[in-house]
Amino acid sequence: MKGERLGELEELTLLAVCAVKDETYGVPVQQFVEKTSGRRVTIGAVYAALERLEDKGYVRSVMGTARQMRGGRRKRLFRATADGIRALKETRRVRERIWDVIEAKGRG
Amino acid sequence: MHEPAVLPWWARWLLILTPLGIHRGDVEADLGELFEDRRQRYGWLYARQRLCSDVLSLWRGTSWGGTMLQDLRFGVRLVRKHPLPVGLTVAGLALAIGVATSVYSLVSATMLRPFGMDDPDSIVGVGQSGHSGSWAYWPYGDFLVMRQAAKLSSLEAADLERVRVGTGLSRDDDALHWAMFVSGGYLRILGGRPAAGRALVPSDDAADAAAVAVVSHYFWKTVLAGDPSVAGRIVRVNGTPVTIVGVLERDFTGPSEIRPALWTTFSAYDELMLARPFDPTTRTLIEVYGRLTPTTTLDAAEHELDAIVARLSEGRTTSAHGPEPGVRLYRAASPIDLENPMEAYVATASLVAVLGLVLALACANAANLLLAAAATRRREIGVRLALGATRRRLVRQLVHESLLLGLLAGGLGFLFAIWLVPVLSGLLGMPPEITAGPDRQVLLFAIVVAIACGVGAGISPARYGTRGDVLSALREGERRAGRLAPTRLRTSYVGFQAAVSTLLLVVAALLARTAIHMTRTEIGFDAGRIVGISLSLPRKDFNEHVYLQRAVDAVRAIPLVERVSASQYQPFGMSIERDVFTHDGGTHTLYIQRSDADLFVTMGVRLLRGRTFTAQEVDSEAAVALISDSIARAFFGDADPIGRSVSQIPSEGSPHPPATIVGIVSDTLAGPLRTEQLGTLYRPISRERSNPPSLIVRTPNPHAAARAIEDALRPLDPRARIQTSIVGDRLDAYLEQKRRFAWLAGPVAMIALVLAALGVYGVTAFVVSQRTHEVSVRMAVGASAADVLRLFVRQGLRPIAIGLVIGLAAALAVSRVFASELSGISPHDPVAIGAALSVLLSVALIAVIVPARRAARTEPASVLRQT
Repeated sequence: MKGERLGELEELTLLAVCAVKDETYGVPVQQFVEKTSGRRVTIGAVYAALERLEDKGYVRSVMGTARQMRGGRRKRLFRATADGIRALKETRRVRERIWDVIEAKGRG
Repeated sequence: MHEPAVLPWWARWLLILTPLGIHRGDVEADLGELFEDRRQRYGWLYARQRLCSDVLSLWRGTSWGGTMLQDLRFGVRLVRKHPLPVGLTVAGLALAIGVATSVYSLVSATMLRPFGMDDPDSIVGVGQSGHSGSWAYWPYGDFLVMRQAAKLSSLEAADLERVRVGTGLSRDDDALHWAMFVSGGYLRILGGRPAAGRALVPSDDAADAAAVAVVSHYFWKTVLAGDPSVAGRIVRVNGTPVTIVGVLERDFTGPSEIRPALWTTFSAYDELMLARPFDPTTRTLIEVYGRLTPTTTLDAAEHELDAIVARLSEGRTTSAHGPEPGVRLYRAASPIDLENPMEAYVATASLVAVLGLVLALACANAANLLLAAAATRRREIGVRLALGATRRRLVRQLVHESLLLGLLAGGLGFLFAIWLVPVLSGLLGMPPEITAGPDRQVLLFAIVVAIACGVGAGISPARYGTRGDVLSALREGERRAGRLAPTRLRTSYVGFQAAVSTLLLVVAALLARTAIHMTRTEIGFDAGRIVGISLSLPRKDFNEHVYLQRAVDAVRAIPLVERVSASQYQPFGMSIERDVFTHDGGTHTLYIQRSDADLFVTMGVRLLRGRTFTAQEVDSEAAVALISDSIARAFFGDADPIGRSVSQIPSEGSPHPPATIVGIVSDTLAGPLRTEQLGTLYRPISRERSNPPSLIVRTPNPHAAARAIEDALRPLDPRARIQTSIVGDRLDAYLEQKRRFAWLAGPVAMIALVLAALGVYGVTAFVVSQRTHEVSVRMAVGASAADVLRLFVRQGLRPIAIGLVIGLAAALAVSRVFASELSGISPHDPVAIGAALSVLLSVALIAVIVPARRAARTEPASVLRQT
């Protein structure tokens, strides 16, 4: 892990990349985030998030295979890296720890 | 995998402008996919809204796109804070952009639109060239041969005629329209598709086919009131019923500047025009157009047709001086006049130049206001510099702000143009068929102009504003900052504005003087009572003399007709004869009219001295002449010209005997009203002539008489073609056109004047406010209010005076170019120039004095105490 944190949109985007498919591109990610979070997300924001995630090493982009072509050219696909998945799990652990505290307080 | 969806045009443009880097293809495909998906699920509106925000969101991702959005937000805040100066700048720019955009729409609708034809590049007109120039007409028989033989181009033909079209019950209401008679495939090769019903097809042109027509979209909308069941409807063309089979698409006009109301076939020609039917022996002249087959070049097609025509003329005996036909192909897809392409280009170029000047004026104004703003914003800029902003970043911010201003002005200007276009096209008298809407192309033009204006206005203030060091800017604050204002830059803007205003004002004044002058011009004959009849008669097997005699008798028998005369040329007609005459070594160019003895009475030209021709003189074509009053004086001074002679300088070798002057008549306007007002010399009508004479008819009611004449002459001989023209209408149309020109120049000059006045006022007011301290010191040491006023007026007027001189020089140079538009007014007309200059000077003086008086009222004590 490179010691960098995930922004909120970054987190949602990375989760979406993991959730949609092994390899995915801008449109499904945007649609997934919009559907599950219930808020409007522009494609520009999704691209920016993917860009940052790639800089941090959490996703990797690969060129699609010959089957995955649009308008005569291969498309760029994103896939979560091991670092990315670790970062997601780390974030989730942090949240769960906090929730544990909250729920413990509620019981007590 | 499916094909990416097609995005709306505005999104594609925005995307082109968006910096996307190497993943452009991916992004476009993604946007297309999202758009398509949303459209299917939630409809067009939602999909468009989301697409818009998606495209804009792409800008935020880029480095300069982000700062730009930030700057724009800041700019909007500034606009809210300083509504007045920003409002003035935007209003000035919007005015100029609106005018420029509307004129551009008109130009694009009339000159740049390629007639609504398919693939216009492969459409050619077939002309024939000879030693007397080229012309675009061919005998119908030759066309049939050419069409048969041509392999590299498909040829079709057309002939434009004026017809009376009626839809109602009474024939009296039938109105004149242009009808295009065409060969069967004409509409198909040019791309004239039906908007309703069907177009004309080759079988409609068969000899035994029923008379059918298609109408223009405009005719359908107006005359037929958009009748939904138009196909099958019957209209009357020259009294003959014709079935309408369809309506053509709105943009289609065919390759002619005149927009026909209906298209019908050659096979209907005999019935509708009461003429001989079209068959292979018909020599009626028609226009030939063709579409080149793919991969054929213009030269190859021309070569082929040339060979065909050469074979054609082998069997014929060509007349000694007839043109030796050679084929010349030309591109038929542009409305630019082929005979005089330069004229069209010059007209467009000068229009663009004037618009450019007005825009530059508005920009200079905006720049001046922004410069003043930059001077007062030095403190803010100083703070930004102190906080670590780079100079580049600051320049970028100021440019972005002016860009915002430009776009704001562009939007307002575009709205203004939507209103202005119909007003202008009404003023210009454009045919209502022309729909000059602010279309996509015009919108693009407006955006480009707006951005150019914004950046043009913002660049020098931005450079100035960010100059200087941080500390002094912070310490000085806003009050004294103006001392550093680049006075030379600002005054040169004012000088430039004065120059442009002078130029435009002088031009407008000259045009206005022309319009006034023309309404007072003495025509010299009763133009409102004359109908001209032009005849086109067959050359072979036709007794012209007998026909003319019968025609004159028939016309004379009409009750409305008072008199009939024969003359070679019609007043304000299409053709005119000019020759150079000599007397006592001097030469004079004169118009020549050849007529019978009666013409002077028929037209109402007064005989001042001597006599008119006798019948014998006309019969024998005696060498006698009448001259108009002004040339009598120019040739002979105070001497009596009767009995003297003038001779024509021989052209083309044939000698002309000198003509004896027998009489003097009043001056008339024979031809176009130009600067060089030529006199007219009258000769007896000649028998050896290339064209049949015109008949000139005097009548109290020209419109009714014209109709009666057509009805009386048509049955005489179907081979003759008759056209009547009402001279008064021609004259009115001509004068009207001149008046409109002046009308159009007026508002442009007014805008220029207002912009210049605003500029001068703005600069003086600013200078005055910056120099309050100095003025107080001057007054404290003894300067009077008058001294202060004089100081500011002198300094304020200096750049204006310089601009005035430059503008006047430019105006004198420019006015020579359009001298032909100035009838009877010299391009150096002192009245017009004097008026323009004095208007400009007095406006400038007011614009200087008003703020200067404020300076003169300064209370030195209170100002000095404050500082």
